Amino acid sequence: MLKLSDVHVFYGHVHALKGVNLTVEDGKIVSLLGGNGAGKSTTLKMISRLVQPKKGNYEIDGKSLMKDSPSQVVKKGIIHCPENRRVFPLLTVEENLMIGAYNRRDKHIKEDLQKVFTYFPRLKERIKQKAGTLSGGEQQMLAIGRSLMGKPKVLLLDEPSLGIAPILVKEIFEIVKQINKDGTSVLLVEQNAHMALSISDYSYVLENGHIALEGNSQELKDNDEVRRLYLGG
Amino acid sequence: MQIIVSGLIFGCIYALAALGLVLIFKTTEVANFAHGEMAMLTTFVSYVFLTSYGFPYLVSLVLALLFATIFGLFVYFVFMKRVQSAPHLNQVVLTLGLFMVFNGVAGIIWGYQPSSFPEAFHGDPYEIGGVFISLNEIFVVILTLILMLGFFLLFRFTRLGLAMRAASQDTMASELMGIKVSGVFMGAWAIGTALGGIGGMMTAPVTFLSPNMMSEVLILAFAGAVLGGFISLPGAVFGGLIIGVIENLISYYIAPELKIVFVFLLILIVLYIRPQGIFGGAKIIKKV
Repeated sequence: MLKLSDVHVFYGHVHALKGVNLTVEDGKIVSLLGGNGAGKSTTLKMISRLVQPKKGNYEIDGKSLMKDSPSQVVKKGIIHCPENRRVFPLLTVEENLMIGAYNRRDKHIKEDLQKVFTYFPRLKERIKQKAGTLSGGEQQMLAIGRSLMGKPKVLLLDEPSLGIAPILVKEIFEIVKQINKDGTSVLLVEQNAHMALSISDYSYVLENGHIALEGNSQELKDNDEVRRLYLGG
Repeated sequence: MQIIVSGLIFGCIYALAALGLVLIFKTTEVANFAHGEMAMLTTFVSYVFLTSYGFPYLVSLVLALLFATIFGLFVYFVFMKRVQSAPHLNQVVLTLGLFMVFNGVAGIIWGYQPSSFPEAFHGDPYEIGGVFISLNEIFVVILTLILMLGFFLLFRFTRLGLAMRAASQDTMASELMGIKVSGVFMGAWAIGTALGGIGGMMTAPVTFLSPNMMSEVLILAFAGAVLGGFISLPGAVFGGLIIGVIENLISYYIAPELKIVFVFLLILIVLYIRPQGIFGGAKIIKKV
């Protein structure tokens, strides 16, 4: 279980997160909604320690992460799949996936590679291709596959639908659901609130750096305010 | 034939200097103009071990490379780390500044009077098929090829090499995959500086040891690296060799004063036809 309590983040003088409380229960998909600049990506970046928290605490399975570096967070099983995919364009698909397993020393890396290929058979077809030559959707698949190679307990997924053909978006969300069924919790940041609410169990709505609303995704879908602000009436 | 072989040996010296340049550039995206001066300082340090302490050649080499490793880390932590994400121009100005600082420091400590520096191996040249080649020259060639191959394999097939390539393409994504990017950069600076030191110690017997010994070598090493694409280690060696040979041919058949002019003419032509260099490959595909 990943738990954030009263987390504050500053960018210079800008108070970007103003005391965020949030919990990702084991085996759940939790979505984080909100407009531009509400602090969604900042929350994920704080968890993976690309930005530093100023105050508060956060922990996984009771172990605090406040003093950790990005690589220590990865070792504790929290892996951040960043916005805009950020695959390594000049490395092959296979090399990109192996980078995901960079911190692992166990013998199951090969098996997990095969598992990624069962989620994303397209990647197997393109295994020797440079990642920069893939389509946007394929790159997103590669980015998710790369994160899975680190064997995450919690996968932080930032805007997986950004700039991707609608038909692939559906496919990717189906696979995210499958990954979750196979035992990985997911914290999903997504502009497409409709999509996010329909695949997640629980949702938080961020406004101006604090949680304005939270609840079961099904209930939020019927909430008037959420409908008006994020689902287009 | 003798001219070509001698050119190849000069080429190896450029290649050795270029390898360190490319290693640092490939990983950290910094074009280190102070590379030659760092190599020169390392060579002076080895000279101190050789003459003041009277250590044997091999011991002095190892100690000097140890110094180079620490020196590389020092340069990274004190200077380069702060400008790692700054614009390239800032980095260039900083490394040019370091070039002058190191040159001046060496001048103050050791003076500008050139002194001779021993070769790794002594002995009269052998004659093979009408070509004269000394044991030391054979050593330089083999050393260059081994280092090139070794680092090529490191980049291509090891976990560290993969991390180095990843870190150069996207530091943020590398951090997110659990790579300690600053550790990788430290490694590149340490190894790159040591490689430069080896280049310096191979250069000094030819050019004599002085604070300015590396300036021409470094320019030609840069040229060789550019010719090879600047991110390819075999490219750097191949580029260095081509330049060594051309330079020697021009000196012999046309005029020694014109050799640099012709070398740069060649680079101009190659880059006009293949802007990414001979081994550069497709650096163009960036993020979609």
